[in-house]
Amino acid sequence: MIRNDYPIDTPAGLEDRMVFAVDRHRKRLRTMRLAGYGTLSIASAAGMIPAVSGLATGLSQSGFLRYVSLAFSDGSAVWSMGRDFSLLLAESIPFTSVAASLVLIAVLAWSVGKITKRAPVAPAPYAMA
Amino acid sequence: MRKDDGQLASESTLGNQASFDELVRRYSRPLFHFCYRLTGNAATAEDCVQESFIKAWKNLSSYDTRRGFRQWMFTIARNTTTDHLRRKKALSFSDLSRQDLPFDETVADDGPLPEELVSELEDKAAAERLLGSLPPESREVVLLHYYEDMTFEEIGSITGKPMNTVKSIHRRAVMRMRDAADAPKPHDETYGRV
Repeated sequence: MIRNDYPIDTPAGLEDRMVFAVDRHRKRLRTMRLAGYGTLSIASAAGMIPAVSGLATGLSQSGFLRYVSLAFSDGSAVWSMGRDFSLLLAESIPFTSVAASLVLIAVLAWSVGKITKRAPVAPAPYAMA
Repeated sequence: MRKDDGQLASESTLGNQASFDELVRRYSRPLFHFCYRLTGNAATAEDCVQESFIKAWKNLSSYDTRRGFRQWMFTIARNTTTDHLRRKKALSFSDLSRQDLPFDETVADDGPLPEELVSELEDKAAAERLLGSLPPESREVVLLHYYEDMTFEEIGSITGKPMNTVKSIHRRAVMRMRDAADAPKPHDETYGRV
């Protein structure tokens, strides 16, 4: 190998500038991540309010709650109807509202998880030779 | 105790920023030298080195710890510099990807540089002249082999060329450097005399 003395002079402070550049990029990504997932969390939390409200309205208007209370109050009658009752219950579920609520819960949980995700703890600094 | 590149690279893939910063410090100078020789401009070389380190950091999860970090890093730097030069249209595609070697130039020659060329490459002013006489694809082989002590196989891995092609490029580079070393120098008092 040619002796480790490059034929051109390295600009002063090159190493520090490179470390700084990578660090600046890391911080920028962290900020963008926080802003992006934070916005998503807030939006999904805010969306939960009308979604849950709509779900409650849908459940009561469809008769789902009535049918469920019937199952607890007159179990024998419900049991005798069996399959028909099950179909009735299934038809009364407001699927759109349920799906919307579940999606918003999932998005909220995922985005909060992304924000709170931490890098592994770095090992103790090693001593330079 | 000083950690080797492999250890630092492994720790970096696990999220240890200090380890990656140490690798950045170790490779800043060699990569700058390499990129400068390919671009001919210090500011551009520094930009390419910076971009290379950022790309490396972004792709740490895909880094294979079985592969040498040096090789991986130089591959990224080479590709980054090539892309930069292509964007600036300062380099034709064939300059770094030529495969149409004449038959007689496919004979591999991995012999060492003649002593006189070694001493010229150690001399800064002479090295400028010799390296400047080479086309980009030859220059990168000479830089990686003689300044970074890489094998032809490693260079082939970095440049994406078969090992025998790298050896052929090396052979042609040696011939060109020999011609450049023998050429009359501008300050040679005998230049132009009969």
